[in-house]
Amino acid sequence: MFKTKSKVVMAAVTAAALAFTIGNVPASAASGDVEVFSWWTSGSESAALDSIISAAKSANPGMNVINAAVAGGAGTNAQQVLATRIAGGDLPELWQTHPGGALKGYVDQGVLADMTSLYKSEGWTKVVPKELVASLTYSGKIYSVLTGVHRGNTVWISAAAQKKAGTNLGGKLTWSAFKAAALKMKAKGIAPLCLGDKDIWTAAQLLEGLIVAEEGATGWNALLSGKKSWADAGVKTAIAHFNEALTWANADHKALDWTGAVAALAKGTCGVNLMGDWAYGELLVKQKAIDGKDFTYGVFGDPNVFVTVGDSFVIGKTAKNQAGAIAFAKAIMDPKVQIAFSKLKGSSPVRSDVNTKSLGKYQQAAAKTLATGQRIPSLTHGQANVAAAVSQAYSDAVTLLEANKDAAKFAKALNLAIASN
Amino acid sequence: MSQVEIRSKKPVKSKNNRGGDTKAALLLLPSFLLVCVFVYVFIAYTVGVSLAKNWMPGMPDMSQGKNPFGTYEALFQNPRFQSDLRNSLIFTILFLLATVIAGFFIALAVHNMGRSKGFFRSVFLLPYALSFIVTGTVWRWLFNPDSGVNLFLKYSGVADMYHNLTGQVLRPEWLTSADTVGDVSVLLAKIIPGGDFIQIQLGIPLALIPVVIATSWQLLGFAMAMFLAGLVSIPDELREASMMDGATGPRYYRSIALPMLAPVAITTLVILTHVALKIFDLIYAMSGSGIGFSTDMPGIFVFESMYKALKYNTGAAASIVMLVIVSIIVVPYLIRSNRETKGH
Repeated sequence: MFKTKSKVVMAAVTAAALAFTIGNVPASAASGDVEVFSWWTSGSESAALDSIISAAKSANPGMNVINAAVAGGAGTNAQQVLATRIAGGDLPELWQTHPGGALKGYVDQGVLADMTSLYKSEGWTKVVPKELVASLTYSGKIYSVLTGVHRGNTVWISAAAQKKAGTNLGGKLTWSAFKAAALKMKAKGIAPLCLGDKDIWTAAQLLEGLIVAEEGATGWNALLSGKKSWADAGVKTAIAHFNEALTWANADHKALDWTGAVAALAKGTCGVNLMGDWAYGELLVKQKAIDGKDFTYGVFGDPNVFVTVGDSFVIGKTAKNQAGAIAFAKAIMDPKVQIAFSKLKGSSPVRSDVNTKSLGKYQQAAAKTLATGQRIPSLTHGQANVAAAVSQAYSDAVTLLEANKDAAKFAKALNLAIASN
Repeated sequence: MSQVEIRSKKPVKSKNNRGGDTKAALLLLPSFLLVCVFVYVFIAYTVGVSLAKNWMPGMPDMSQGKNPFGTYEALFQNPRFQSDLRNSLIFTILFLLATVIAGFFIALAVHNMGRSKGFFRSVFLLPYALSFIVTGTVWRWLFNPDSGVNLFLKYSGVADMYHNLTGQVLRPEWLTSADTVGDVSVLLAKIIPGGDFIQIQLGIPLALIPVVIATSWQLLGFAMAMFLAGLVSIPDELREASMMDGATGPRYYRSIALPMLAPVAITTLVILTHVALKIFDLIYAMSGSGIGFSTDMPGIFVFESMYKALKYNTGAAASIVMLVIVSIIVVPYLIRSNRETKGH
């Protein structure tokens, strides 16, 4: 009953919309229901998703987008719902997934539509950095579009803490400079490291940043592909740094989540926080902090290395409205939408040919590094071309490392996980 | 009890009995079939998934590898799952002790209260009405080393007193503690050949204590309500008779009330045990996996294996292990209560 009614209403609305906009509707405009499945339900995330939806609707007046978002757990809960739907053969037109391991899982199950020809006809292969395209490619076929890319190795630095301790961290951070500053902060009663690792990924991300600083982009890729052992000297040094850094963390770190750590940073009760640049939005909007005045930023090791955390959407192979799904994918990749989305979500646009002038100061710099720097995938956020189980093994190994401080056991667990990948 | 009464009336209604049985069977049939499919068939399917090499929702491939039990072998060698089993055991024991003992004494106190009985019964029952997620979040803040309980210790003067007496700072780490006390794994490794198979510390992780306190707080009301119901069902005549025979209050409870409460206690224990073994949401909200998996539980492991690591066979194997452990507790209880009904 309800469905018929809503269809009638939709038809009326569509007809009305068509009557007004008939002049600028492209001949190929898609119509019908397009279901978009994601885990974007919180403020800035759902606003960013809405910007894509409204763009897709205005480009395709006959299209009805069904926003099927499932809250919570960085996608773990959504994964649960999606697994049931895949098992039942009821695929949404598009759904959100991490590039890398999770995407590979879907490719293995044969449930994704191949987007290679779309990439070629739209010229996306030319404007999206090749490492990012590679993270969406299996056996020569491209399977996903990116809404934006976050940087996973930014170190946020509290200006208040620096002022109090008389330090001057920023830009490229070496371990010795950081340690010297950390000891000064400690002497002033400031916890040098802001951490909120109630959920282990925040600590896993910190260690990832420290390993990348020691190993560089090439070394990191070799570790992921199994060409290099995790017992390597660089990893050992990074683990020693990690263990030392944890002793400088705020005492309540195990009880806080990442937003708690960002709040402490804004207050200046702790010094630095290694966090993906979704923290930028948190600092600006929730903490009312000003870029450059209340906080600055830097990177451990080479500032040209960009650890990517992409948000991507795939198309269900057997979903009913293929034309609608493709039209929605085109809306995601539209240069204007990429900028509008980045503004709301805090990520960098994946297209290197868009004008980033209208973005925030930090974001402009990040977008530039993304376009021109060295891009490597985050293992913490399941972005590498390894099975999702390897990312899980990594976060499990970090959980144990926090308690036993044992670099050898850590190396053993990771080598085993990569070998059985 | 009501079943017993129905049985005793049977001979009177014997005429319609056969027809009644058929009707009852017909009425039960749909739910029986549904339970068969949605419980037992799916349990069997889960066993299948746990033995399969690479089952995925989009490609339900049940074919097995060379060693179908390989998933189980890897599971028991996984330090995380070893921690989970240790935590589950220790959590269950501590939680049962705390909840049942405290629940019993609170029930006694409330039972012997005059007018305010109803008020206190509600006070102790209220936490039971909360969701586990709410309890977990609230107690997470209470046991945050920088707020809650530690502030209470500080401002009540207890921390200062402790400092003056021992010269040490009293500032417990609670959930953020990475320590394990009473570790016997080194000892075991020496005694049992192949004892180095155990990769974790077999002791009591200190971070589990706050979790036990929070869970007991929530389920105390349930245990109290069970014991209260038990106490109410003891006829007043027994108490009066024992008093006439010269029994004092404590003597009455020890020799008469406690033995009569035994069935209630066993039911409470079994129900609470399966709650403890399957605990997920409270711990997920309160401490997550904890430092070095000090508060991780099999339930959390199943969830993460399935939907984060996408290792469906590992998740299925772990859930079957959980099912077996719960069955060890629940099945004997069911058999026993079945026998009791037949015996009457």
